[in-house]
Amino acid sequence: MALAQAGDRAAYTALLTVCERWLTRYYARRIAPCHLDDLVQDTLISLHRKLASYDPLRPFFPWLAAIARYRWIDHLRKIYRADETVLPDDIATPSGEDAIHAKISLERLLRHLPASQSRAIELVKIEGRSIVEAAAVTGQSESLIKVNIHRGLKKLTSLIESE
Amino acid sequence: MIVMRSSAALIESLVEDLAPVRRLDARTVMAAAALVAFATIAIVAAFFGVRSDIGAGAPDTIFLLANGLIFILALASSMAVIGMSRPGVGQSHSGWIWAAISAALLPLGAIYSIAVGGITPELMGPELMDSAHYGVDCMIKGVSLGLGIAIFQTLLLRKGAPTSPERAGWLVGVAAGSVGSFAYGLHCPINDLTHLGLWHILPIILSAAIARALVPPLIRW
Repeated sequence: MALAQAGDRAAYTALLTVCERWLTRYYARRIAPCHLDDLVQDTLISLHRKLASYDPLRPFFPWLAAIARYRWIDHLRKIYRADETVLPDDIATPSGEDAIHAKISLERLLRHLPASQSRAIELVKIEGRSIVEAAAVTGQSESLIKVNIHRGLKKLTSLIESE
Repeated sequence: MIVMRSSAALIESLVEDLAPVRRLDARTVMAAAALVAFATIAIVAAFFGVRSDIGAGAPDTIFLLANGLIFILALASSMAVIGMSRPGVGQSHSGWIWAAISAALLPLGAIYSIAVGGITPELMGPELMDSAHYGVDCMIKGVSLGLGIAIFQTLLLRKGAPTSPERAGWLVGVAAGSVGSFAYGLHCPINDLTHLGLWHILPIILSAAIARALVPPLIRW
């Protein structure tokens, strides 16, 4: 990354390639498959635009994860309903970097929300169900689903770096 | 210009667009922020003058305590803003909260002082008007003098990657108001806790509210 910041294109190509793979795994099962590529590409563009904000004296993945989380939450805000509702079971999940991943994963972020909020976000924003369907599944009213999504996303934003 | 294509094509396009970047080095940014703060103090010294007791080397104790707490809040909130410009999971930017709690003792002390002392007949007359006049003056000058640090920190956050724009907005306001209030405090000759606890803290609250409204749209990415 330090080489990339200095303008080394070969290093940057290698870095972006690794990041692209890592982000695809990172977002797997936390975004509807039809949005995965868009989200990964959005995040790579953000990484590119915010290169100056990385400090080479600090570990790289927490920086990348902060950017990835920010883009993810932003993406959840923008999408209202995905066309695809089923998440495949065979999406590759990380193995080698389990310890790091556990600390910076999106699941960890979601776990800090009250169950009603995380469930509403998962159903509507990740699985792509309608508000009516989410209300039927959870037993919450439609307006409560909306409130829980709004509050949940707001809380997620405040937790991006701290959790 | 970056056009969305396949990831491989996007990566190629990003690499083509790569140019060396100037990192947001914490020490350099802190030094620049200190320079802006010194410039603010220099403006106060040049246009309004510095309190005579500072010149005499024997500043008043209440003034020292109040401006010291405001200075610590300015420092802590500025450090938090600088930290927020360089994100990372696992980082905490909460040190400013303790500084804010400490500074909150000033308005609490002022309210206590009014509650214990009561509203004396003198305070209902012209002295109240004078006090309010000076107070409003301190508040307006404090907010205005914070503008330089607010612009600096907003530009910093635009270059950086704050993950919580709303919180960053609040903090820019707290830092700007604190620097402005601290700087003008070096001129204001009033040592009264009621005045310092209300009129020198209000610029911080006001700046925070203004920055919360104005800054987030400017720093979202």
